[in-house]
Amino acid sequence: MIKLNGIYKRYHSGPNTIAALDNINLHVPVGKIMGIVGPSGAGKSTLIRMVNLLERPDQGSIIVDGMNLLHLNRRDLAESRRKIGMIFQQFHLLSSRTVFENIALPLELIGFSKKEIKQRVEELLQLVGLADRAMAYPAELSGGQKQRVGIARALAPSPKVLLCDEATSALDPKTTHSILNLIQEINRKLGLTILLITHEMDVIKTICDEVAILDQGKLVERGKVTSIFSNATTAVARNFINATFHLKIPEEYATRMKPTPCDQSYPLVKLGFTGNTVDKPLISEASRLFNIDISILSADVEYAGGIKFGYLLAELFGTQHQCKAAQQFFIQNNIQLEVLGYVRIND
Amino acid sequence: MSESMIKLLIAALGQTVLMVCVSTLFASLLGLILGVILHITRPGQILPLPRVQKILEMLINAGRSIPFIILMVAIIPFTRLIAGSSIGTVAAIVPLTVAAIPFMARLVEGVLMEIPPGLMDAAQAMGLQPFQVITKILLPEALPGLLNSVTITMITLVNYSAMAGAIGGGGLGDIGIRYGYQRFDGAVMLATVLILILLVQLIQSAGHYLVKKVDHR
Ligand SMILES: Nc1ncnc2c1ncn2[C@@H]1O[C@H](COP(=O)(O)OP(=O)(O)OP(=O)(O)O)[C@@H](O)[C@H]1O
Ligand SMILES: [Mg+2]
Repeated sequence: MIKLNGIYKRYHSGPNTIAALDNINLHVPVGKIMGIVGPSGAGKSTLIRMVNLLERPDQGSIIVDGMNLLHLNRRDLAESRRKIGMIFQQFHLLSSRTVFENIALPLELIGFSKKEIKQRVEELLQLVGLADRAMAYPAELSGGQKQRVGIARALAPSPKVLLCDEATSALDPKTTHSILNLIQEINRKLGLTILLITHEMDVIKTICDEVAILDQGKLVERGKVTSIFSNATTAVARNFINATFHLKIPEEYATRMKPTPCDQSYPLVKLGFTGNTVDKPLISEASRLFNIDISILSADVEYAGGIKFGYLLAELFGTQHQCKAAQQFFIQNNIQLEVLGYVRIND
Repeated sequence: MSESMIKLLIAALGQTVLMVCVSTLFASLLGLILGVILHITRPGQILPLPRVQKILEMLINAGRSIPFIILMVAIIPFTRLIAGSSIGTVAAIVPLTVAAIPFMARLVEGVLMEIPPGLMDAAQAMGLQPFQVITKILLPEALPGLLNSVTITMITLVNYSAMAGAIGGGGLGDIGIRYGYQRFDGAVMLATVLILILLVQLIQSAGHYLVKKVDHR
């Protein structure tokens, strides 16, 4: 549905040239949700603004729904843009128009009659759950509600593509979740192709089918969300993935921990579950097979795209020999294992 | 104060109101158009035309740098062309309008600059053509600021209109100068000053009321 080929974009600021986008090739298939994640300044905004030509590339081609956007004149481009909805971090609603009138704006452009507009807007208000706020002005709405209006406005002309430019970055976590749910619902119900950019891997994890990682203007990794989580090779990607897990060794343990084993100490291990990990109840199996006790200190494991991934912090209680064997077992079953240290028993 | 003096003051108030209202109307319309052109032809805006922008910029600066009393005299031939005469209340409307157009244009430009640039992104993304951007986004979003600009322009025109007496425009300023200043009639001077204060107050309050009514930010 969206095809970017060989996109280059440079910005000149004084004597410096910034390669904001450097040979970007990206394909978003029909009906998929593709997320692009990257650190600040990576070129995410520049990239998503290419897709509806808010920004023009220096080089390359942009094809949306079979239309080569760079070949269109102004009138045809405006026409094509109606097939590409967009929502923004700062919502960009018209403060002079009510919720109803904001959503009606794109329909006025197409030349819908008053009656048709009323019917379509009411439909959309229902979809985004704002039926009771139709006559409110944007200033009277919460951030989440504003974004719902933004979504309804973007969907009004029945686009085939939805672009989300950091659509949840101005919202609190709970609201973020409800907006992401809405975007997913739209994707499922209407079969819309969605391209979103974000600096939060959590967003990607929650709703995306595919992800691309952008760093310094280059796409450094791309693939299914599950496979990136398990197989990411670049440091940027790994950092983003690790940032989604919130594991810490409890303070009290840290003080009792030594880097090497000694008398009366037990290993504290970090177990990483990825897409490659064998799908079996491995913890209880290890406990049974090697006759050890396993005490879980902390865990952050999630289920996304049919795969479990995340980390556990656990203590292994047993003889040195038993513990070694259990660790071998974990590694054989493709658990990423890291011994963080050895904790002495309290005396 | 004599009854004839009161009648004279009422007539002068009528002339002032006529001059101010008509010139505000024309200056607002023309200033609005120029202000919009000045804004949209800037680089990065919806219709970048650097040449047009530069020329307009120069004209507006020139217009604003001429003191009203000089402008009034300097454009007498033009006034005669438009109004058929260069003397009288109707004739005074011409220089008042000419003086207020660049003033209004600048105010309009300032108001338009306050519109968040993100709205232009949203407009482009929705596929609005430049003319639709003006009618559906720029003007409605700027409405409170535009009404405020009209109010300021109108009050400035009350001020300028007092000088119109110099070309026989009549009005309260004229009365104030002739009776209050040249004939040392303190009561008339006081009366004209009070009426002018009330007039400005009224314009300001009405403007304020309207701005509040249309402002949903
Ligand atoms: N109009 C511009 N003029 C000059 N440089 C620009 C312009 N827009 C972007 N850049 C530069 O291009 C690079 C990419 O910017 P971009 O806004 O796409 O990054 P981003 O990934 O969206 O970052 P953030 O997460 O901070 O929003 C940055 O180095 C930025 O400074
Ligand atoms: Mg950005």
